[in-house]
Amino acid sequence: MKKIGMYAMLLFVVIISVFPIIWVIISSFKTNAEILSNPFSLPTSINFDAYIEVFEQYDMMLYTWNSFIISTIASLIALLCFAMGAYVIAKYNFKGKNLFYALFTLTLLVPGHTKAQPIFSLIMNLDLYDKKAGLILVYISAGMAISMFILRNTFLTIPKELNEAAEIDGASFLRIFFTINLPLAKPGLATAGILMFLNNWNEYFYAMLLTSSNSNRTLPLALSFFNEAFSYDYTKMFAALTIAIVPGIIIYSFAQEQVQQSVAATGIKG
Amino acid sequence: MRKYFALIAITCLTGGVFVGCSGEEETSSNGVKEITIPHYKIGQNVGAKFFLPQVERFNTLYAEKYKINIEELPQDGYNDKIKQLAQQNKLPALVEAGDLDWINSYIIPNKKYYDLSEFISSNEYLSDVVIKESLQYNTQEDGSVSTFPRTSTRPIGLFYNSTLYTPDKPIKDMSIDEFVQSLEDNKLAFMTGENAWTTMLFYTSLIANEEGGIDLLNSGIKNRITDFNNDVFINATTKLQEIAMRYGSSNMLGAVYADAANSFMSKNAAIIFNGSWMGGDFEQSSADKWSNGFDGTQVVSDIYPGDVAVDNVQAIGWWIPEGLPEDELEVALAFLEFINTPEELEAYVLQEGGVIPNLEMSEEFKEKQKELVLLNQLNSSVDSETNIVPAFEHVVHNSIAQEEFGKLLPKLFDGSITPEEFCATLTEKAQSIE
Amino acid sequence: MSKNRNLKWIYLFLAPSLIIFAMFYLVPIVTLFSTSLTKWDGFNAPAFIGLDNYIKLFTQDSFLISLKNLVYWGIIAGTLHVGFAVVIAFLLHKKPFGWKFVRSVYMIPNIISVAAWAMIYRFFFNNEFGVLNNLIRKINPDFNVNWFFESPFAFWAITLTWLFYGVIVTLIVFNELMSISPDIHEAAKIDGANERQITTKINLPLCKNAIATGIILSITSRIAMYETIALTTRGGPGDDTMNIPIILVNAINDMNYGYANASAVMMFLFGIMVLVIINKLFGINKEQ
Repeated sequence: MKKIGMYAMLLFVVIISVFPIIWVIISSFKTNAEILSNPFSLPTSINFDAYIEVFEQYDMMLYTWNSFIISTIASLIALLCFAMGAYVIAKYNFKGKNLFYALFTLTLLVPGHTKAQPIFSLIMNLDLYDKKAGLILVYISAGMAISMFILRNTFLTIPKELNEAAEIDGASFLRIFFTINLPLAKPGLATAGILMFLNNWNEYFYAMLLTSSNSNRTLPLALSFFNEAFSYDYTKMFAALTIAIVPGIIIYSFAQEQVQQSVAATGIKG
Repeated sequence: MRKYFALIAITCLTGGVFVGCSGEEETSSNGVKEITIPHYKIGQNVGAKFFLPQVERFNTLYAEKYKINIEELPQDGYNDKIKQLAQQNKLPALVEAGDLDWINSYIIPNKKYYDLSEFISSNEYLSDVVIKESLQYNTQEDGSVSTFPRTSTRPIGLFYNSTLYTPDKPIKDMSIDEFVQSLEDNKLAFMTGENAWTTMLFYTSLIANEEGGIDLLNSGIKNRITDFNNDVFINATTKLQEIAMRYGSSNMLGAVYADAANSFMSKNAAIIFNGSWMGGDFEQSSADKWSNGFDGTQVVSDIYPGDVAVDNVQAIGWWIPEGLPEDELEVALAFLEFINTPEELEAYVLQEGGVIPNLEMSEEFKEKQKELVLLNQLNSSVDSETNIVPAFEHVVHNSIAQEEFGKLLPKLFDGSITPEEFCATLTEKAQSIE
Repeated sequence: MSKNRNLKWIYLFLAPSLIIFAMFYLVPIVTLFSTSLTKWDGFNAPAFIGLDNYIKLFTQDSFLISLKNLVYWGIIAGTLHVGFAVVIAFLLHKKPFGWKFVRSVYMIPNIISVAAWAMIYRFFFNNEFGVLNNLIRKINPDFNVNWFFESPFAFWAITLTWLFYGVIVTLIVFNELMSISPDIHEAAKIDGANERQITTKINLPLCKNAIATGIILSITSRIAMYETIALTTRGGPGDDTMNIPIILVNAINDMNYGYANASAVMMFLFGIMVLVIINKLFGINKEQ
């Protein structure tokens, strides 16, 4: 009896997690009339017409590319910056070290949306409104707390003796960092990188606030615009939704462990 | 040495990315002067059907000289984006209207517009064709003209599906009560999403049918209405509530314009309140929007009960921001001139309806117009007796029209607030804006 | 270690992080607090007006309703939402058949964009072709509710988009459970404790900190909830589902920056309040 209750709950979890998504994907292959008449029916035929039309009529490729390039560049730069910071915090003693670390990780407690106006003005003043670089800058900063946390822990697990031995051999500071520590920190870098990439890929709020033109529009933002454009062509709407959500799920399926571990460790939204 | 190299590499990487990403200014090749303007008349938007081909015609006519690119924005976000771009001093070379409160409080006092007076007065044809009342409205105290005046009048009425709804006499000759009685089981394509456009139009006609309503609406052009706690609004709201509860389309709660249009074009609603530009949706070329046996030829147009139509020439139109580079200004002015040529105005009226009072129409045009049953119905419904009133959305503050009205309607329609509460809340919202 | 030689490098390495911190955290937060006391439109210089923005906030219905919603959502998040997530964590910890699969799948709603999720739910709850209402209509054919657009359903529709999606809390608690030494369980079993006692007397107290963290995270994400509302109800019907971020964005769009920042300061303060209160309630030590 207890077992049944347990499995019922777990089944419930699975259903609420994947059913809405599967429903969206299935619906993207149905005609508008089929969607409206019976939400549970299966498509009568599988064709990718809606997808082709979405790609043809709208700059889906462009939006996908924008999301990809903005997320990737922001994650890579952030990774490098924060790896450097986390590395010295983990490996060296210097004045203010604990204060810096505390400040960097405390940024986790600042809800991203509260800084909307100051960041809006900052980006305006830097003349980066409606430019990819503006969004990239904001996204770099967003990953600060989680990356610092994950990367510092990673560098802490790398034995100190390696650094000491290298220093005796006369290796430079940069060399020790780039050729000894960074390669050994790969798992941590991957975890932080994937997490930041996913966050950036999904970001909507600042994309809405800081861009206006088509050429800089990211996928989640474009999606919300379709609300109007497609509002009575549900097939296309569902196809566009599918295009927006599937890449994230694919990335996740390859890096489940990292994502779950890092989420649990830092308690940040994925 | 190597470490400096690495450092330089990092700096270049970081710096390079930003340079690489920000250098996206458009470069005009082979001397074509090019501008890019964001606009919402795109995709499924009703305005797209005329606007996009018009831009194409412009680009073709001036193929070697000018080019206008359209950047897609949803209609709902257009005004906000224009405001943000203005703040960056990055307004596009052409803006169509925008948030009227903001234009009056920022663009006009700060002279952020290009003065069109010279452009209009130096061109005899243009000075003739613009509607004088509209020109006057757009002329500021110093004699400058802030936005391009209207050239056409377009009474906004309604469309009904004659297979579902068969009134005994024209709707314009009915009273509101007679209209309601004539509905029987038919539904009205209301909406509450976005700015609740179709519902807002009918609400305007209800207000106009109240004693003193017409004067009240007209007074709002100069001084925005902020007090809704009076009989006119409460009575009109009461009627709107009753009618919506009984005759509102099943999907009206949360429906955006496209949903309302869809319920009309799938026979789920018999009547939709909208302007003549919707006529394009009822042509054979729009058949892909029809479903459930809907046929555009069965659509009939009329104006509102009590012989009321909605229109307002005291309105703003296209404008050009000040301080544009010469090249862009040239393209923008060329476009304004282009869309007001007799050919384009005739094409516009043929597509979207309306009357151009100061233009002698060509014979060819008159021939073509005879075929446009719907537009003719609408135009001939309007006579000298007709009460032409400004829309509710033009006589209240922008945020009331765009946000609060639509957000409050679902509560009125599901009966969770009374008409009195509805008016009181609107009043409170409107007065907190001052 | 040759400290002096490295010091230059240490600060050079720290510099990017420090610059990012200053630009995107320190300066914005200082700006936030200082300009919340001004009338500022972004063009003209900010003019000091004291607490006027805050007074206006607290006399505006939309803000008061936001506060009320926040209290309700906060309580629901801190109890039902976290409670459900913790139960799932405990179930997963029993390692039933397929637990890894369930854990992975539960994460998916958090992997996709909140914006997309909000839109999925908008369709899911659609009265005509949405799954939920069509299911309900199989039992009660006359059921017609426009979830996101009718009082009082809109509030619950928004709530349902996140109520059961507590995978982060689940993972935090699950990790904590995994880190409990098996010796403790062995010892308890030898002392004759049954499974239920182990769960309630040993595991639950040991997860206290993890649960507290989960509660803090869950409530603070309610404070910052924007996309879910902006892409469904826009705060309506009326002001039923208003939330502070919606007020904030509207104020930015109206170029009412002082007012916008006053509302942001309130969000900030509520976040700190939640942190302090939950820590007090759970008696978490500083060592975290």
